[in-house]
Amino acid sequence: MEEKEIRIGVFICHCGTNIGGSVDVPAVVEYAKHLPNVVHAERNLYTCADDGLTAIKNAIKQHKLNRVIVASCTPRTHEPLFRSTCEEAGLNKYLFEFVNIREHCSWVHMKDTEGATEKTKELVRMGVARATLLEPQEEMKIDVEQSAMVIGGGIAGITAAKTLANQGFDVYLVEKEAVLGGMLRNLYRLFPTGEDSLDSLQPSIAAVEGHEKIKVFSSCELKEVKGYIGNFDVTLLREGKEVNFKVGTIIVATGAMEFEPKGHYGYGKYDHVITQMQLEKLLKDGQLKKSDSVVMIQCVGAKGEEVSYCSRICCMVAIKNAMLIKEINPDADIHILHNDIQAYGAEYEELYNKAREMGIRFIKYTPESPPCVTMDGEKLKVEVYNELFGEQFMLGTDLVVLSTPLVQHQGGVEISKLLRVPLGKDKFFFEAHVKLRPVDFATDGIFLCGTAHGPAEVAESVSQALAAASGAGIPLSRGFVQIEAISVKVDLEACIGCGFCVEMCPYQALDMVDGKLEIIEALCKGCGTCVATCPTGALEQRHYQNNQIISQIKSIFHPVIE
Amino acid sequence: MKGCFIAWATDDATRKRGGSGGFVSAALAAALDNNLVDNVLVLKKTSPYKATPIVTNDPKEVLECAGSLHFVSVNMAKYVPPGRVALPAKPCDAMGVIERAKRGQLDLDEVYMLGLNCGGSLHPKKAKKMVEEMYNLDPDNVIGEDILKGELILKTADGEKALKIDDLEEKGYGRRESCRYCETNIPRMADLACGNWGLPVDKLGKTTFVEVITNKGEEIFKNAVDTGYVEFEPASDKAIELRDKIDNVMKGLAEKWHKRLFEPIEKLSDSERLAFYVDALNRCIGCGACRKACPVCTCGDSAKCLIEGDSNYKIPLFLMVRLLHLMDSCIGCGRCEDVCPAGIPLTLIHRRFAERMQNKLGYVPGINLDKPPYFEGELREDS
Amino acid sequence: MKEFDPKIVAFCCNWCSYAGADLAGVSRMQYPPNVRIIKVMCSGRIDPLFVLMSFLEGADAVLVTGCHIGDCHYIDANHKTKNRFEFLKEMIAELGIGEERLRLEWISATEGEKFADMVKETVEKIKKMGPSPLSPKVMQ
Repeated sequence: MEEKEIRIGVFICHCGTNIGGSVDVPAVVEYAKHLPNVVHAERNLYTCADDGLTAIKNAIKQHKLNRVIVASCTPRTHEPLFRSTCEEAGLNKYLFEFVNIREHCSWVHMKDTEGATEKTKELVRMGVARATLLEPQEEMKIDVEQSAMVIGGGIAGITAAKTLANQGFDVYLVEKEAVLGGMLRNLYRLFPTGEDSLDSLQPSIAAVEGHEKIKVFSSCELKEVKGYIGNFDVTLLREGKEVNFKVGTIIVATGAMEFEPKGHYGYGKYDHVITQMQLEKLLKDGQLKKSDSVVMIQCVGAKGEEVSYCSRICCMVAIKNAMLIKEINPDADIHILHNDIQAYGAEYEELYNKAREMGIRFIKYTPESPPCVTMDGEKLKVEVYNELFGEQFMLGTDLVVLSTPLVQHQGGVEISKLLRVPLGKDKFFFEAHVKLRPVDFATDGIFLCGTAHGPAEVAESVSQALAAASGAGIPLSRGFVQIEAISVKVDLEACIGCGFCVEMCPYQALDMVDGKLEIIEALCKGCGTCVATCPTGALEQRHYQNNQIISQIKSIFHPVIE
Repeated sequence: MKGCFIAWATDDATRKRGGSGGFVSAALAAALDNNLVDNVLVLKKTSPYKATPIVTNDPKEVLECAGSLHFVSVNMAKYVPPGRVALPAKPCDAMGVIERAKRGQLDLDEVYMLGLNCGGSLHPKKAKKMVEEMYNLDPDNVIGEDILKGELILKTADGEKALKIDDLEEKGYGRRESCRYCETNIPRMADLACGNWGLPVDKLGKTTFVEVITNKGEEIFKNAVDTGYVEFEPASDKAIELRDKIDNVMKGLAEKWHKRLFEPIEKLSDSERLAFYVDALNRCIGCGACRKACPVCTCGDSAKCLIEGDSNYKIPLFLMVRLLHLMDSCIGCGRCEDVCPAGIPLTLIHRRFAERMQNKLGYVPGINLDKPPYFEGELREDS
Repeated sequence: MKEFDPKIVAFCCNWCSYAGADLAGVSRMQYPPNVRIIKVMCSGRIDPLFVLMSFLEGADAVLVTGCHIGDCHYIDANHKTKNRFEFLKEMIAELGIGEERLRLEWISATEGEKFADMVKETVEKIKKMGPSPLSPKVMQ
């Protein structure tokens, strides 16, 4: 490589008060100016805003920068933005270095300005050390298989499949049950419109099943998924036989299931203690018999030890079902025992008010003294401490309906292992970024939607599905993906041919041919495990070179400026 | 025909020159003669204290190299040429060869190792001093040496003089430190294991006790017999028993030495031990001789241990990385310590680190082609 | 005299532990500013040499972190991390600088709290232990 003067520009972001509130940014700028090879340092209120990006581009030209460092948030969200800014100014994007001073510094040392400022200086120093040794890289282009797989044939999966197919891509829709429709198939009427679930579901199923671009694999089990964005190799099991195909992107729409409230409020012990899902079925089949008095209990199993989160949708389910019972039996005496009603948005608030107008009674209980269901002769008896009245209420009732949360099912857990995508604390699939990438996984080419991501009602599931389909369609319509230039390379003169690296590679990207190491770059995913094991310096990982990492380590302990 | 035999060179001169019946030299020459191998790697003795490894395809030259060498501390593994080759191999030579084979430096199928039983060797410089101080002889007058029944016998034109090895070692002479606690005396990782242990008194010095271990060993042995270089008879049960007994005695002795040399370190507190390591390893002048001498090291000029650290490190990065990389693979040959100009007890230190790891993993380097655990891809469940 | 302020080097993988550290930030979990994170794509990239060098440079503790076993973004590359870590562990033990100075922790992208706790615990422990005796700054 030709010897060229290193000219680094450092941009330190205040991020409003997010960084500026606990880090003395001007002091860091002063410090950065004196670091070796730094020819320009400035601070921005928001480096990621238009004027910040313009400042970067201008500085690259004005100061002839050949390295750019932004010290701000995590590279996991804004690195692509700053990289393309550098590219626009004619700088190879691998000459950009990101220093995380928000998530890893200002936000975790909010009350320690001195400590946070000192740490920020060091983090910038490490960034400068690394940036000095960065090398430009060329990315490899890989063709994308013009098809997608949607896992799960519920309303989310159906919507995603239909949307992708309508864009002209082949879609493989995989469903473990014999029929499509998922959870929606078992529901009666939907809030807030009150329309029959099948009315909205059936046309979608028909559209999918009749679509020339969609292949539906029902009663199928996903066995194996190998490969990466653009080139996933999928193996299904259908009637014990393997089916193989290739897809470019994958959408996870595996849904959720209703929590089974075993041991709660006499469920499983008394016949007339049922779940909302069971009530939906009774309503749907016109089988609801005795309903002169009904008690619904909210948050069964939720917001507690078994399931820690609020399932969000059960309040509206209960309100809707209570109103449906009222429609059939206007004299029915209905109580909803709740621990705060979740009726977000204008439509739901309206529904809630309407329910109260209809005479449905809401009683707030506290988690410390939950209701108690017993049998009193032929009738069920519900005791509840009414927090508002400050007294114990006694309700005789024909039916107790338990509102239970949606939870992840075993199938979802297995899919997560198969695809190597994470589950969150709540066991639902975990998105790449809660705000900015809500339907993406951190793994390129895999997306998620519907209740696989967490409790959601139909409209939410559908909009997520549309979003996921749009995301999954981008690489397909572009026809190629660029692979990050982090693959490994070998210096054959330094390689001693021990071959130990070959078996280290999780992707069989390395091979010994006639005593010489060969690297199949398209297979290399850039984990760098082989590089770490190589007893010599023969193997190197692009952008994560030994000397780059070593320079970071050394710079921690070598203050260049006293 | 695997098993134990008593064999000897048919040629008188070879039998005489050889330390014990000349079998090894005869078998090596036979292998060359009958084109079983392309080359033979042997040590060419230039004095009792000096020998050079040579690669030859001349059976005559091989036969001229017959004879024991106790005052030379060369590890042969690094000198093995490509192609079909035979060599005499002490246990640590054989272990070195196997470790190099694991690292793709040679093809073990093409290497015939005629293993030599070994009770240890002496460092040439120390040996000379010992000859002067303890034997009161002029080192240059010594024409031969032998170890028998715990005694080191020196031969001069005037006759023989024997001293007990124990006494020599008490006085700081005798075998190299790493040999003293080495428990691998019979090279069962080689194709043959040859020596004088187990021979009946009347056959001592005239024959070789040979154990044929592998198919390659069988090939070599059969070839030597078929070509008329060697004659043999089966070893008696008594001879086999006796050999094992000697082996066990040597092992017992090694254990004692091990305790004696390692216990002082074992007894140190954490901070004392660190001080010991820092003091010793910081004497390193970075010449790299240990690395060049190490039979296991195959890394060449781009070795990771050569990555530059900082002069203020309490232990040079070079040695730290070597300690790490040898934790599973050090065979304890002692070469690093032999060549260290700074006098660092390198082998002792390497063994401290390596024994920890090797014992923990139940991994013994140099005995088979099992991959070093450092390069294992599967998760080790036990750890 | 100034209170001993430990320097801790943490190697984090891009997919799990680095994201876990991000989440600790997003959740505003407070921990002391003693840790310096070096990001690699996978914990399998963490050459034991980096760890040894950190100690020789003066690190009072080194944290090796990655995805949980079974969750590795690179199939099973973290198995190699674990195996190699055993070497480091034995090495640090033999050197006698205090085994607690080296720690392997699997931290998922959702375990911000685990990351913060790891840093807090380590800083506390190392403050009690004092500076690493291998640090060039420490006289023996």
